[in-house]
Amino acid sequence: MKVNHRVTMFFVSVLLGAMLTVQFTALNRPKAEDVEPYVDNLQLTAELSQERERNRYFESDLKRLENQIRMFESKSDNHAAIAKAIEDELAKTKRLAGTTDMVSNGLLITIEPPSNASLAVGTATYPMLLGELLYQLCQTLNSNGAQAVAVENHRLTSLSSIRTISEVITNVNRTAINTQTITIKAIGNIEQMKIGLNTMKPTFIEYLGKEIKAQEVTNGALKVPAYDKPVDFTYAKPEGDKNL
Amino acid sequence: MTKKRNPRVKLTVSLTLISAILGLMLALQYKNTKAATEEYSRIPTKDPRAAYTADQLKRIKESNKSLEQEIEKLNKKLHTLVKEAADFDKQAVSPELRDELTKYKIMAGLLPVKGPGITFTVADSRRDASNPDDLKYLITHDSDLRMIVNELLVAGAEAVAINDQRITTTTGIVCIGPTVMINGVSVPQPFEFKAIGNPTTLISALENKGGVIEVLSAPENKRFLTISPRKQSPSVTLPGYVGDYNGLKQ
Repeated sequence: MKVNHRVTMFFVSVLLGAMLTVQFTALNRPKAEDVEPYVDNLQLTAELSQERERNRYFESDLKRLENQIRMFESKSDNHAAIAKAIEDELAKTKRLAGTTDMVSNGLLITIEPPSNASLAVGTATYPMLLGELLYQLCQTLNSNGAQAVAVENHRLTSLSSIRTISEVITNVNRTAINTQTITIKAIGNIEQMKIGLNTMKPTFIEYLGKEIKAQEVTNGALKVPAYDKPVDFTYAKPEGDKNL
Repeated sequence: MTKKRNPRVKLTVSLTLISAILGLMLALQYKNTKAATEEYSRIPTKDPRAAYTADQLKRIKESNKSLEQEIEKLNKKLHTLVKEAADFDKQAVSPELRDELTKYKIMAGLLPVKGPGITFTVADSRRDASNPDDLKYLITHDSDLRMIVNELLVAGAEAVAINDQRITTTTGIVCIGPTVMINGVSVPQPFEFKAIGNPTTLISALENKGGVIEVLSAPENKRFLTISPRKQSPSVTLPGYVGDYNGLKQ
């Protein structure tokens, strides 16, 4: 009997131990929310390619800056050379800021009443402001390789805004523009900008009853004028500077 | 005779009880384990190639992040050298030339800047969509971000950034599928806005009746974005832009 009891107790203990082990491992198994979501390899590869391009650009820009700094430090006694370097730097910077004219290849875009008059009323059930769509169009061009964009010859920069005040008044850089037919000039990657433009065409028809037409300019003669408003910074100062 | 039977009876009863409890526990254990296995089998298995690509992507993003910081440091150093050159010899390098360069570097977004301004965040709504069609009203769209940036610029903001992506001449804020891209970089929500300018004017412009904040968060507009209170600060810092301006910088 005693042996029977011991054998029984032995099997009961083994069973209990096994159950405790299974329970412990079940508790520690990763939950669904802890596992990273499945991501398409194609999407990751596209992002990786983009980041590699950025990496190449950063490496080359770093070298350029290091060379420039070395030049400034080595020619610190040669003030004429330093002055020339600063003037060159100013010319490049004004170009990046949008405060110089640019002449190159690009797209001459017009937003106008459609050739098919039945489309002229738009079909959307709620109104979409012209300013909002124009802004979206310009941002789409930028995302598709535009280097310089002007709406009715008003250059868009980091300080630019586009705002619809009323049915007949839309301001670009705080200046009212003609909204019957709007001309946009965009210098940059023509093929890529056309792809971006095509995504906007249905939206302009649907919400504004206006057609977007684009003409390629490949003779290098498309002129995007410089930003023409005064530039002055009252609040923004370079980080680390005591005064401008 | 009774004494001998009692211990046996007690033992039998105890063992029966223990076996019954054990049986119950076994049944419960089986049920739990089955449920856990079913849940685990629903988790999609990772593509090993995707895992490798994701790892490479993570490394290169880290490398790019530190290159960006290095470039920003060098831009600041260059700015200091120009200032020193002008301070040292005002005839060769006039203060006006130095100030012009600084001004256009700020406008181009090349220099990190600091000044009075405001900060706030915009994020998707915390509500659950009552039906799938309502989901689009609860998430932050590229058009929402553009609307806010435009409003800040109308109100005189001198520099604006979203999640440290500085707004420049060639900035594009667009959606590619479910992702918001700013300056060609994927930017996840929540979206932190920083703007340098007159704080009172900036806040008034955003909080006007019928203004952008109301449009994006008022229930009657069916938009319920989570927008934090606009915080005024005497010193908001925005990083510089280190990209290539769509090839213009090369």
